[in-house]
Amino acid sequence: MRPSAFLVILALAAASAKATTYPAVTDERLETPEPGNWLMYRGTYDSHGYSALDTINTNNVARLKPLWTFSTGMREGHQAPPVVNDGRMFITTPHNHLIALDAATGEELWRYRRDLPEDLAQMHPTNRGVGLYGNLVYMATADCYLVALDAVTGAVAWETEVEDYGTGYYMTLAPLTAAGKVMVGVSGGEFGIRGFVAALDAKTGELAWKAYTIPAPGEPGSESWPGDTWKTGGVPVWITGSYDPGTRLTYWGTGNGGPWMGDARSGDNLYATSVIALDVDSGAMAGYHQYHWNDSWDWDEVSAPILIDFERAGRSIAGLVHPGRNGYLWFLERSDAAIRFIDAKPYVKQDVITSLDPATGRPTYDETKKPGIGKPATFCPSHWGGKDWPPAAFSPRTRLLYIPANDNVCAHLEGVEEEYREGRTFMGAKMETFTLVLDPETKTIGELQAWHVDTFEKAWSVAFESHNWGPVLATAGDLVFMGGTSDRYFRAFDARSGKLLWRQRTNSGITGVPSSYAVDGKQYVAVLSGWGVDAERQQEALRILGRTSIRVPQGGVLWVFGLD
Amino acid sequence: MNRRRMMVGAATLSFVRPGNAAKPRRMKPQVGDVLAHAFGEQAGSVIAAKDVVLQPVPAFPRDPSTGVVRDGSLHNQLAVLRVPSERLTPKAKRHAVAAPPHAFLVYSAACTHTGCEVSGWNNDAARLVCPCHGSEFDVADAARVVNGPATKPLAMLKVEITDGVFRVTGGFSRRVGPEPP
Repeated sequence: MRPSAFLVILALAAASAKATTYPAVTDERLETPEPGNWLMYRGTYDSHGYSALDTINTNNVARLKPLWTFSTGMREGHQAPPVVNDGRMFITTPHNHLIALDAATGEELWRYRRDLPEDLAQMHPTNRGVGLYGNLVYMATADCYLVALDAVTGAVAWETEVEDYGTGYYMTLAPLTAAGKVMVGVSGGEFGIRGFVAALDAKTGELAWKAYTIPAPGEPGSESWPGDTWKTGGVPVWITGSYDPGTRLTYWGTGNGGPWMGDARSGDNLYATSVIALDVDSGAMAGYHQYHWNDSWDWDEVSAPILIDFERAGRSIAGLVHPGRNGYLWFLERSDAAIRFIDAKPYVKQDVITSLDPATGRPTYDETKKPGIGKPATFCPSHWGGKDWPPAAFSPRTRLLYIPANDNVCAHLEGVEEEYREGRTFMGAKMETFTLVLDPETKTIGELQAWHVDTFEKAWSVAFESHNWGPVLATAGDLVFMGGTSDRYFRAFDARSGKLLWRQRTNSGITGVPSSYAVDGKQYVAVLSGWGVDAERQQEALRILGRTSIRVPQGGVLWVFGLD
Repeated sequence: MNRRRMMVGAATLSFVRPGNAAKPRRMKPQVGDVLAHAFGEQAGSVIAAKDVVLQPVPAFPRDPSTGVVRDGSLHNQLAVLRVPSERLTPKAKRHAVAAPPHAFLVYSAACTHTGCEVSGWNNDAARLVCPCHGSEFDVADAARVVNGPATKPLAMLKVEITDGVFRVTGGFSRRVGPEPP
């Protein structure tokens, strides 16, 4: 044997030794993940975005330091959480690269580069991370495929076309895995799609079920869409759902109706801007709640509701909690069937909704604040909402919900008649005259708000000059981590008081979902810094108004922090 | 058709590969192609230069011999514009067709930011606007970026007017759509 061949065999042996240590991701593990692993988008099925690790805490966070970084080499919006299973980390980037790293050392293990079509138009060039199941890792792609790769080698096990990208469908969300299935939703609310959630067999990639978010004629709710508008009515699903294993129901937030103007599709437009409960086995809809009817403001309510059991008037309620893009904080009751409205109130300046029906939560609108075709209107919050997609977090220790908010920002928008053309933008909005509208007296926009879920009172709030696109991580160390501002900082706050305890300036702005994990007993906090997509778009809108002069630099870098 | 262009056309044809010829709808604009309406009731019919007045006219190249419209890719979509000659910068003039007191310009409709269709139009400022992220391009200045996240101008396509219609005389001035990641 030649020495070089011997070395190759040694290297392979080392690699395979590592390979055998990859613990399969089972339903049991997904339902109760070990605190040291971050196995899915929000860490747990209830979407708390909470880590039970507490080695890094309020007493020592001031000593938190970057341990290593990893440059992705990609521009645009880096929004994926570092997902970790037993020391292996998986991150995704815009343009659908999937990178596996040693979560302790930062060594690159493998990298998958999606070969995307040259003429693919990307309105939202981003990806929000992987799903894990068995020994596979899954990514939903911009050309609307679900790709399954071997978690250890990075070899493609299978790929399934979920829809034809040429017809306006694309995917950006992290897949949800449960009960032998991989579930994905589709983007395309600005391209005249008909939205859906699809479940594929986790082993084979075969379609198990497909649940449309817009009913076909004759189905319940179809009367809320006039004529053929249901065929092109949008209602995308582009954020990972929550899951209640007890009832086997998945909960998904749904996006805007298309085109944007409500008068282009008169009616309630079920199940747009809603939460829908889908049976994990069949895809059958068990219940829904529509946050606001006949959306005319592009207020996607795609963030999945957070599963929190909360108190109201001495009663403990199995709940769904949702800080809405429409500026209201919603408390709902979940069960094995219907979803019931409990209460809601605005958490940012909201001037469209004049009242809510106390029994159903159905809002009444100030019609002068509702844009339409040929009818301009100024409304608050802006179409980016009180909170856009960046997820809020919940700490069971503090009973506080942490909302990454934008306040004091309104928008001026006018609708135009638009003819549907397959695969093309179908927004029906006059973007040439769109502008943000700011209160000149108010100097801050971005906020981190903490709300007590049992008393429904705001405990504290921190405000920023910049707008805020920072996903939130809460930890058992009574810390709240968030980036999101255009000054490129990643920050840690005291979860009980909101006091700033630590911050680190990074390469770019942070719109990545932070996660926390442990390897060999050592706790890490990790986040992708890489500004782009709507955070950048809003920055530009603020720049035009003179609120800022900077353009946030692009380029993705993974930051991993720990104590020395 | 003048003699020089006939020769260019013949030279181009000889380089067409069978693979491309099999997908004529996806083929890039070819020298000698005419420009046809992209959408609406007139979709596929040849654009008369006299019909290009104030608004940009969306177009696809069309093979004059087969009648095939090359609408198989957003990278073939064009915006045909008429601008007062005195407003053009020297850079824009290089690719414009003079028709005093106006000039015609043909831009790629694929945004250089993330590849969306640049379908919006700001008439007062004479800017093409991308609805995806709000990039604005000054059509009198070779599609210079005025606002928004795009950093590169839209590609221009060189054309001439013969018998009152637009004919392609060359390739795009730069890469169509965004830079590869």
